[in-house]
Amino acid sequence: MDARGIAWLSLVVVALVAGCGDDKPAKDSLAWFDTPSVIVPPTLKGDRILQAEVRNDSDHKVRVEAATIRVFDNNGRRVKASATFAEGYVHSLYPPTRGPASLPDYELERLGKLAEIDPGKTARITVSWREPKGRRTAATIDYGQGKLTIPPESLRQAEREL
Amino acid sequence: MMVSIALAVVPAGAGAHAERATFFPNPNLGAFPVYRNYGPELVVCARDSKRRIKDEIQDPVVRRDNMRLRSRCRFDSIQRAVNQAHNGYRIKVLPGVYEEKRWQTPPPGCEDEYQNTSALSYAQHRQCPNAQNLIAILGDTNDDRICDSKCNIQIEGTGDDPGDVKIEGEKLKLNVVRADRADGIFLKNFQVEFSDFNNIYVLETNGFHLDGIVSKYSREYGILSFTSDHGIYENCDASYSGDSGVYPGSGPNARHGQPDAHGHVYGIEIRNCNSHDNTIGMSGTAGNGTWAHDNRFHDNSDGVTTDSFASGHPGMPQDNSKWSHNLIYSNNNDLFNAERDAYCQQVPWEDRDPQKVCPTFQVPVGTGILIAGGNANVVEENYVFDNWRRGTMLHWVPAALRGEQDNAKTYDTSSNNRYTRNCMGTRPASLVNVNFTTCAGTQDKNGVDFWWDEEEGQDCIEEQAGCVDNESVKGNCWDSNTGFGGTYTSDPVALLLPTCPGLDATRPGNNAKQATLVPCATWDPQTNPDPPGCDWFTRPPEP
Repeated sequence: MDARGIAWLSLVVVALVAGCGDDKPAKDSLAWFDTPSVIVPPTLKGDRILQAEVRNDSDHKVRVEAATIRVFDNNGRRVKASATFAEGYVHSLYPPTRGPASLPDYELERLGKLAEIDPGKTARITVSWREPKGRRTAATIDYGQGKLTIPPESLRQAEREL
Repeated sequence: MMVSIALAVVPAGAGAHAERATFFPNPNLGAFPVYRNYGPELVVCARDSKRRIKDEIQDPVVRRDNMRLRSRCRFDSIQRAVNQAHNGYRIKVLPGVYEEKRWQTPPPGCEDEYQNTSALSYAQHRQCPNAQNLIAILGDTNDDRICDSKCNIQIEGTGDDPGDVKIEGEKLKLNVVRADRADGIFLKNFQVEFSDFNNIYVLETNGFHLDGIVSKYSREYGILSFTSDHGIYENCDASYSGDSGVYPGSGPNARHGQPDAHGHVYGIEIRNCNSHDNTIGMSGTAGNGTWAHDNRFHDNSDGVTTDSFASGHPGMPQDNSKWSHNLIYSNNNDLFNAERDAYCQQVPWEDRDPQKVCPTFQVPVGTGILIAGGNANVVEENYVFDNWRRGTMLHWVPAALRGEQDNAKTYDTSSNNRYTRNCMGTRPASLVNVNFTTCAGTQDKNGVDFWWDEEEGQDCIEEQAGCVDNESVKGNCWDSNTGFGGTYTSDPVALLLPTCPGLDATRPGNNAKQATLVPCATWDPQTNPDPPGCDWFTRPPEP
């Protein structure tokens, strides 16, 4: 191989290495740490609230913005949902319509709008949704970089307790 | 006695709550100001004051006094009179509408400050007092946080009711009246309207007295004090605020329920006020050391709130306030319905009907008094009725949510709160001259009288790292409360509400109850006005 060929090969190798080491985590890097609990709010019987710890099973730090989390039903249709990483009810220092254009990460984390989860670590997540009507049911939580399956037994348990 | 703690409010690039780092005044200095009828006097009048005195003042004695003052009027602007005033001056404001238009245009050197809606430093306020404030009383000339000039200023409307003197913010300034390090300030007998943030704003002030102030149509707060001490709000009427009618936030923190050198347990007192038709009647993040009594909080979405939710408020977690002899009723103002959501989304603030309140924060509609993450508060001998969700609501707020990094303090909130001798679900025969030592009237139910998430916090010493528990007796407790027919309702059932002094045993609470609060955090009036899983924004049916 001539010098030019070696140079091209080097570039390809560098690109491959870079590709392996980029910041994008592998799919489904988050997993349930324990079985999620689902409750049916007493006054909103068509809604569900799921709470669980999620663990980062990848070897990368995972950064998830709560606003990007989506819930889909068993037919793959999107369900109206909200998500937060806050441990409890909290509100921002600013009214939602009047704050600065961007908040620092520590404030976003305090508000539950952002989670940065190191490998092997966990975060508390709360996802709530409007349960679809009929035979459809919420089935997956898509956090952008992967998906979590909503355990049917958690849903059934919630409905039994209703 | 500890001297107060100093913490910064999170400064930010823009936004209504931005404030510079503020510090509590020394509780052992300062005093509650009393009204004076002596001292140098400056008189302010409007172009039409003479006509207004003749036409609008009914009381002949007051009319004659006003005509006499009219002849001595030298100022057509309240701010100009403030600028001329020295310590102990009294400023008399004759009937009229004061828009203070001359301060709308920036003077040379203040162009940037006039454009800036984020937190200005105290020095910037000194340099450009009217950049964010229609009227500014700034009492500290050398930035040592001690008032040394324009202290004990008294500004008084001279009409026979507060509406005779109106100070109009015209939605142009964050604050209509700002009293900043203005110890001894006394504001009396006028109406203030249309601020973008606070109609009356008292900051880092040791000694303030607001008497007979009417506040209307603030985008956020009617009357707000912050990191101030020795303050009195009395005889006020606060309505149509996007957040709260009255807000004693970051209240005096050092006493922790113990008297100061002058024997004062409570550093701020709110009495004989009527706060209604706001999102919240009275609220205060870190609303410590405040005593609210003989007030009416009604027809808001939420009557009273005190909390440890937000970061950056000095004095966290909230503790040691008291509510007694208040009427807390009919707080079912339906401000989060779809029609109002659409109105608030589509109509900019400048163009809104001032009586169509757009909430700036989310609250559980139909709640009388909510203590969220508070400690050692007292709710005693109040009438609480016709709040369709809950008469009272008490729950834990994890320490991390206020930005606390010390994991040992996770459960340091919602402990030792005491609910005693309240009359629930009963409307007294008359709303004046109520006898608070009895419970009599007609039935007017709350959704449930007492709601508790069943968490009992640890008794951590606020000023020490970790959780140093120095209290072994008290817990959250409910004692001698009653209601129509001698009974009240609760969740959990009454048997599970500890009687006083409570059970000093930390427990995490009922997860199913706490879980229902969490989705409400995702509320956004523009993008998520009705989050799944949160029932706060639907007004409950009348029970």
